[in-house]
Amino acid sequence: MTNKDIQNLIDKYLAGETSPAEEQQLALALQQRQDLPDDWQAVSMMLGELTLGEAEYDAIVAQRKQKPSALIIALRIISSVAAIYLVGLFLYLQQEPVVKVETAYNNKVKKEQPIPAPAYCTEGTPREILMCYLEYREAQPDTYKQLKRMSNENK
Amino acid sequence: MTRSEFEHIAAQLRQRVLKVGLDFFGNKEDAEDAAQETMVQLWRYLEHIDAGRNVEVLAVRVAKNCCVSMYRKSSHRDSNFVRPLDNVTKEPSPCYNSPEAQLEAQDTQRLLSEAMALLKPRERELFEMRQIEGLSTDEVAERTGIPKPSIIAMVSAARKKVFTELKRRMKQ
Repeated sequence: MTNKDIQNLIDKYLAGETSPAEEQQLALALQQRQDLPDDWQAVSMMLGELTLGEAEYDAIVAQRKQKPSALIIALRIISSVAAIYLVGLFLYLQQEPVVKVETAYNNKVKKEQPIPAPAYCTEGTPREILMCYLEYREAQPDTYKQLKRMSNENK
Repeated sequence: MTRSEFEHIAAQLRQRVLKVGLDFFGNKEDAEDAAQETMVQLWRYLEHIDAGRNVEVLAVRVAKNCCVSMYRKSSHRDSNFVRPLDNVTKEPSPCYNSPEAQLEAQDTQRLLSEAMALLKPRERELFEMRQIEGLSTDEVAERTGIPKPSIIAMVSAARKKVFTELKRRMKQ
């Protein structure tokens, strides 16, 4: 508050037109200055300790409301982080687990039915059956090698 | 106000001033101290309180003053902050002042009382309602039934008289 503002408030005060809030404002402004001129000193005395105390009380309470303490800030941060974590956890738990198809415990995968042995090389002329057999054997050489070995071992 | 009248409303007043302390300090111990000090100040000031006055409003103002005084005292103790001596006071006297400040406050109070002695009874009553109880012009008008312009004129006259007298005495 400038000196001019203070003087204006003092004039208003002496005219009986100030509100209690303006008187508190004036008391605070005068209290913050040192080496007051006599006029201002007299007004300061008239405003009194009660007005000044009330002004300081309201200013401190208002300041506290505007500026939360470090503890409150820390609590707010912790509670925010906890809330975010809980929401994340909730969303995570809402998801259905993804089961790998290959795993043995996947009940959803139907067990494959044994594929019946293809009835191959059963129709046609003897030559066609022979050619079919040879083609089939050529396509799966390992199987037939193993069968051959097994038949030799059994002999 | 008589002592018995005060004792009759003391419990109610104490609850009110305790709330002022709790709002300020946020803990019950300091609030209890401030409430106790407020009640002591009001007790000392008892003979100056008119029975028709709103004691609760005055009690709240004194309680706020006590809270701030306690706060200043703890700030001064914690941070070695040097605050200029309180140069202003009115009855009831502020709480927890240093002896130097109390002497200065008594001196100020004496000057103010002498200046206020020049006022007419009605002027003095209105001056105190605005000054000590902290009432607005509207509240004073509502309580006294005097039109607002008349209150403004009387308060202005009272303030100017006190102001002039204080300046004269300060120059002596």
